[in-house]
Amino acid sequence: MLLIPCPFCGARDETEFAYGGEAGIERPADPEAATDEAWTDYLCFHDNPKGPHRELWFHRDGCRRWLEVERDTYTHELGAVRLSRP
Amino acid sequence: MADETADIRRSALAGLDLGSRAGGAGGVLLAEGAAREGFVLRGPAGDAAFGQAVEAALGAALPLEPGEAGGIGADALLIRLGPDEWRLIAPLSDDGRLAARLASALGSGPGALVNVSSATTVVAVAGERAADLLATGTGIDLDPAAFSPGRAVRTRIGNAQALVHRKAEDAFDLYVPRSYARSFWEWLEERGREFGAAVAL
Repeated sequence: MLLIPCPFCGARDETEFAYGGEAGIERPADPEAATDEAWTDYLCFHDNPKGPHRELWFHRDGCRRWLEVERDTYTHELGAVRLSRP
Repeated sequence: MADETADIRRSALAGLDLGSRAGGAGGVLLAEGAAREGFVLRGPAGDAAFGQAVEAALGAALPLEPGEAGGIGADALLIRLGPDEWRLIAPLSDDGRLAARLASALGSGPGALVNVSSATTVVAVAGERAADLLATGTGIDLDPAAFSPGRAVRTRIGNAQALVHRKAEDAFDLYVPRSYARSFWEWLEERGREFGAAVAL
């Protein structure tokens, strides 16, 4: 079980959060003009590393903010946590 | 405003027949709290005009610390729940007057106020083992040093999201979603056996 240090609420249990996948994925600015390859990459091809990972968590039962969390997917060690859109 | 809150006068726990469960004496008392008005207030915490509008309308400063619950008069509260979110709680007898004042003070400036009175049911948990009972179902630290009387936070308890207001060291008001109220109550009673929980009317 993770104890995620929410920058607003403080340390909270993982069960209060919803996982949101890899952080920092940019939506193509103009979807109509994006190539099929760029759009498919945006939608489907995300990193799945064994080790450090920057990912999104939604604090559903707390401040209801999206957080960007650094987590090691192998050791579960947490690094920096910040509000995704302060 | 009165019409929007009319349905919360009918208890979400009516089907449980709490009267037949009342009695016993133990370390925890469970009771249904009086229905209250609730309003979600959203707005920019750092905006001076927003803060002044709230203060002018409610006669109390906008609480800025996470979990801070500012009292408004004797019975109403304004709780900081998120970076741009607060909850205004007032007794039904206020009949929407505080909220109407706040809405008119916000005017066309930044900020929004939404009536969520029908969304929650209040469950009161009190007694010397109250914190021990809640601790079996939540991850927050209930030690008074970490969560002091007068504060309020939103978290998860058992199977439901709950806004937890610690009224005193051993007295909590839990605002749980109305549709979860019945199963949440049954969860509390079940967990409460270990602590000799009794039902109060």
